[in-house]
Amino acid sequence: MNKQSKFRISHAIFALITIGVASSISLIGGIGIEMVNTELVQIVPLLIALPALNSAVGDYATIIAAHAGDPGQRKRSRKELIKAVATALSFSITFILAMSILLASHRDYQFSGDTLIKFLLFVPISMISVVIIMFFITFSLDALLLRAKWNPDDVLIAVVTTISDIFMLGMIALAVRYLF
Amino acid sequence: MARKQQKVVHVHWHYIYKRRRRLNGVSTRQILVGQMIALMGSLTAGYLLELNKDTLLLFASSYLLLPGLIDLSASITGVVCAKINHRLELGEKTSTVLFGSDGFGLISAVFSGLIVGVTGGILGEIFFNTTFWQVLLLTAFVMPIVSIIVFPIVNILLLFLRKMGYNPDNIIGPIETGLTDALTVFVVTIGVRMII
Repeated sequence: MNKQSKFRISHAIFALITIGVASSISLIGGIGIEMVNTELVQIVPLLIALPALNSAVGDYATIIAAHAGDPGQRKRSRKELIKAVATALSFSITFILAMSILLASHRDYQFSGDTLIKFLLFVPISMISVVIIMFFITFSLDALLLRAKWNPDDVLIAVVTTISDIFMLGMIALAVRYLF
Repeated sequence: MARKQQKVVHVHWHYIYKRRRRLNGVSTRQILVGQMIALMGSLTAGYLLELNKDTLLLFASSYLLLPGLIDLSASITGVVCAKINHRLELGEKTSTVLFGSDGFGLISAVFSGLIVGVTGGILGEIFFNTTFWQVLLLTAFVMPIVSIIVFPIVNILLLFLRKMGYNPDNIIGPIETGLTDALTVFVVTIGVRMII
């Protein structure tokens, strides 16, 4: 086996382990959901919204991390980024709320006024707070990595998407236990 | 001649400017379209979760595993798509690229799935009284099946997008996220039904 083949194999093994470990960290959020699963399945709109909430904050974390690490344009791109994310986030919140309420009604879920208000408040507050936290984490990590002369592109996305997953699932688990 | 040269330079810089704007600018429209497609898939996954909630409750640790498996399926499919697109850009033969990248994706699905399965199994044993081997078996069942179904679909989609002149890197991400979300929930449900 030549040197290049050895390098390619070790590179592939490293990639496989990284992907596996990153996904294993997402299981921390899964512990929270598993702990409240019997209560969660009774709140049908939240159960329907669960994968969408998780994916959406992960997507926003990726977008924030990808653009925050854009060298040479940091100040300008940050302003554009905040504006674009705010607009897109308000759309995502409205879409998730509308579709999950619609699908829950289709499954004959009887909304009480109390549950509906809590659900209407929980989705926007949780999504906005996770995205705000992601902005702070991304910008702080970006500054730290630059000071340490590391390329933020190599690390930021993997770190912030994992953190956003854990935050969102944790908030859902806490809401199921204490809010609904 | 001079005028022609001037025109070529103008077109060139106009192209570079537009390309830079596309790469560096944050397009709200692109995020919105991507989100719309991805959310459709994720909400379908949520609906499937609701339809099969009683089955999933019968297997302790199914809700523990779901975020990890969904995350893993999306990551591996994303890697496979990026790999195929970039190797095709380099002018490699399509059949070789598809075979090599899908093969790498399938090996990743089995190997990385085992890492998630072992971690999930240990967490399940500690916190939820689940049998380690059942959790590992569920992961070993789900990951290859999701990959075998998803890879041909994204392969065809990717080749179609390239043929239409689009850059798949900009479009395929949200589509594969939505698709893998829904499919993973579906296959996990089938797996749970077979194990219990």
